[in-house]
Amino acid sequence: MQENKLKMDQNNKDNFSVPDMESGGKTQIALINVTKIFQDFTAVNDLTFEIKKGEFFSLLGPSGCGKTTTLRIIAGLENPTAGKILLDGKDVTNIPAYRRNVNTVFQDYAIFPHMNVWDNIYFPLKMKRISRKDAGLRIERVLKLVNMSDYSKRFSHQLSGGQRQRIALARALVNEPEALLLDEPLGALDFKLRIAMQTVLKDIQKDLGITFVYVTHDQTEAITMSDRIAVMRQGVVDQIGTPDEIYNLPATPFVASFIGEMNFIDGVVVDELAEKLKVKIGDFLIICNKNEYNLHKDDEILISVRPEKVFIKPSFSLTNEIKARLSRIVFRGDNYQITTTFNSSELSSVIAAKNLDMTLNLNELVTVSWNAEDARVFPIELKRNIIKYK
Amino acid sequence: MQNRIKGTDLKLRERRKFRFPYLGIYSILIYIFLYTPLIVVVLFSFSGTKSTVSFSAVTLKWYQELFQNSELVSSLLHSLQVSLTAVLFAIILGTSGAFFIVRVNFPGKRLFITLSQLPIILPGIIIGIAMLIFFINLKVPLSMLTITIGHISFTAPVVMFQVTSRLLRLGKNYEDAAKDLGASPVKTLFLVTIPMIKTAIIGGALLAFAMSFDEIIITYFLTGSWTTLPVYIYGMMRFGLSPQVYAVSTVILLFSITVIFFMARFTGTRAEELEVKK
Amino acid sequence: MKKEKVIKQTLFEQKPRSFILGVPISIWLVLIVLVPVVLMFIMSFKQKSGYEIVNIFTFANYLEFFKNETYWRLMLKSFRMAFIVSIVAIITGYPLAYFISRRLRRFRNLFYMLIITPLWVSYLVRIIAWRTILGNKGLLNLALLNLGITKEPLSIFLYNQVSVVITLTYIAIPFVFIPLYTALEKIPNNLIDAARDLGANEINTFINVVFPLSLPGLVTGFMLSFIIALGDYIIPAQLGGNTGIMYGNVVWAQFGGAFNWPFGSALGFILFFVAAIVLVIAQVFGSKEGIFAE
Repeated sequence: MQENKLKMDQNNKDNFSVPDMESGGKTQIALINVTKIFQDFTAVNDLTFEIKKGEFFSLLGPSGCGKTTTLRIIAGLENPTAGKILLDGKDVTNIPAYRRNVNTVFQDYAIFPHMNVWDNIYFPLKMKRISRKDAGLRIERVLKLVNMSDYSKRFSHQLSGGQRQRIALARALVNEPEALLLDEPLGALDFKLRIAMQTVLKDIQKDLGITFVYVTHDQTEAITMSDRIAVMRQGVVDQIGTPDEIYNLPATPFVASFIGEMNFIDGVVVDELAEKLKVKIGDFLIICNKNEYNLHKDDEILISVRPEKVFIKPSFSLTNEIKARLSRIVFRGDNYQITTTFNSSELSSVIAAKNLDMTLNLNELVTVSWNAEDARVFPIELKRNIIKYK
Repeated sequence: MQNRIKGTDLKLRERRKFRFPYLGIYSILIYIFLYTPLIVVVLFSFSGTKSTVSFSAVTLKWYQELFQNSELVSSLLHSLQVSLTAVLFAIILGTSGAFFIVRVNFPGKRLFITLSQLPIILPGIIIGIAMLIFFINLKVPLSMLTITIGHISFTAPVVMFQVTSRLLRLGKNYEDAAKDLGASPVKTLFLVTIPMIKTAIIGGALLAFAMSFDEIIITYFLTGSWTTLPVYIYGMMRFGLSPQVYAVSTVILLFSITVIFFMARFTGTRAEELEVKK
Repeated sequence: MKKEKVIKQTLFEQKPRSFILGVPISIWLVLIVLVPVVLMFIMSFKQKSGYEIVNIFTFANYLEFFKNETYWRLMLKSFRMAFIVSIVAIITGYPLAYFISRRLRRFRNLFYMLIITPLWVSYLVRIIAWRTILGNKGLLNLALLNLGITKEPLSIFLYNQVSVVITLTYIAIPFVFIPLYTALEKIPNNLIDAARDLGANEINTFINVVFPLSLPGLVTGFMLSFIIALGDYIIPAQLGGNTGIMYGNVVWAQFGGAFNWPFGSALGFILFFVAAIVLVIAQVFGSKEGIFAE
């Protein structure tokens, strides 16, 4: 864990020590050393990071990793055991939820069943003592934004899941909060609707320019929608970065395994060069690039490389080349997943269906290659954090 | 091949057809068993003769006598006093107690809950004795006060457990949403939580009222010369069954059915019920 | 559906303000439930002397219960009767609950309410009803006379153990029905479907799936009915005559003419003890929501 923190300070240019000395936008929300312990369970462990004004920021991780708890701490619905929360530079740690200028869209929407849609959306304005007349315009505007203008008289039980979700969104936006917190809002929707709503949410965020803090366990969702993602595991943040950084430069095997598909191979460092490492995997020797993990000769390591960067029988030459036996070919619609084995390790390659222009036979011995710069290395101890089932 | 499959299909279907026979008839018989005694009482209340055997004339005489029976009418009013008071206290004690159980984490909660159930679960005679001794020790004479307090012993938990059950089903989410949207704890309570548990409170109160209005077992221990309706009726019963008893029974029957009818309408299909059920 | 993680705040994290909620109900609990029961317990160790109650500590009352045949035999008799009542109530109530919860589609609520309704009708009215039916001048005799089966009214129907059992059962049926119905209703339909799919007919499904899953509700209903029957003193007094006396009657008698409050308290406390044991059994083996399942 020490390693992780160090790594974050060095590697992650988005981390900080002084809140407003930041390039690229002002800080909207800052968490400083936030910890939350429930009886004997540590849900959130010493988190420090910031979220910039106007960005779409996701908290991504498997269930139980503490992302919802973190969100609730920002909202004020949980009090941190230790640490501070800053909203727009102000310390709000001891300010209760109803006096913070952030609103939440809950996972089950929490639409008040005893009020109709209009009254639901009016509720936050009512709390600000805005009269019903003055509120009318704002409510209409926000209803139009979510495309539910005709539904103002309906009640919760007369709405479908997707409609309720949009009302929850409208209700949270009508007050024009500093930031909008969303707790897996699309989780209960079916697939097509979810995809459609992702676009709607993203558009609304861009149009209004409000900071979104978005909790999800769906990595595709996070990658599609976010400006930056914090990948969480068991109460700590493994990495914060743009979707591109998270995908192509995962900081830990956990992040590497959680996003997309990833190959993992065990290896041993046999020689150290200036910028590179000579590594033995099975019977083969390959080259890896050095990175922030200072790995040396005789270190046991873990190598990760994306299947789409692994090529079978390539016509061009790449840094690393091994021979492996074709064990499985799976047709997946728009691509093929081709799995090979060597020395009790597996390497999968993913190739777009249209690009498959060779004959492949099972059990055939083939050349499998990848470029050193497309692989990452990690100390072997971090292997246990790899997520097995997503 | 087709035929073979069809064959096994049939056998399976026949086996499956073997259900419990006569279930419906049995059930109807039970319903008849449950309602016949009540119908008998109603019929006898219109019987013309003083002796309760035969059905000579149909008459409303007994109902007339009933309304002229000042003792009975006053005991009815007494019952109303006691029950309304007991229910009022029950609502306050029960609702606050329910919130206490659901929202606050205190040690010994399970014991607390079990002990609170005692007045409802234990035989009434025990509660009656205990309360009697309690009042004697405090040198409180048996009167409306003692009866009312005796009733509060069971009306409070009835309301409390109804509200508790609803609060548990409701979950914290609505309160969180209200707080998140800017409502202080007090506003959350009155604008969101209470409207959503309203029917549980009312349902519990109605149930408690019915239990209190009908209560004889505990009341009999705590009554002096000031009687409630059940005590008066019991007095009537101990000296044989005069037709007036049937008349008052029929009136009570009608009243109960009306109350149940309204309860069913009122708490049956409210929108929040649907919501919470989901 | 999101799985609710129940995470309790530590004791000290909660605002002390919220404990105020518990003040009224705690006062009620102590003053109206605990103190009277404790006082009754204390009373059971005193002794009566003439028309006074002497303030000494003695086990005499409890010893009397065990030494004197009358009392513990009566307890046994009441036990037996309560047991019979509960069994009959279950036999009556179970098929009914099964029918309404698993066979009826429409009108299910209506029929459910129809069972509950007698529960809401006055307890006394129901007793009056049975006295009417079973009495010398009652319905049963009336019918038999008119049908020519008997020449004179029979007095065997009333004022005996049977009439007490019948009336107690009549009272007990709704109390058995409710937890049973709730338990049966809660059995997910897909379990039944799975059993059917695997080749079970209704009887097999019942024996292997439905009945075992309904047991907690059955236990709760049985225990409820048992306690109601065990402690009742009004029904035996009204319909029991001389042979139908139950334990409740002698307890009551101590507070009536006999004016032996200490002894009555002891008897009462013994009943309390028995009831407590029954309740513990119900908690352990019965349905979790107890009698408050809606």
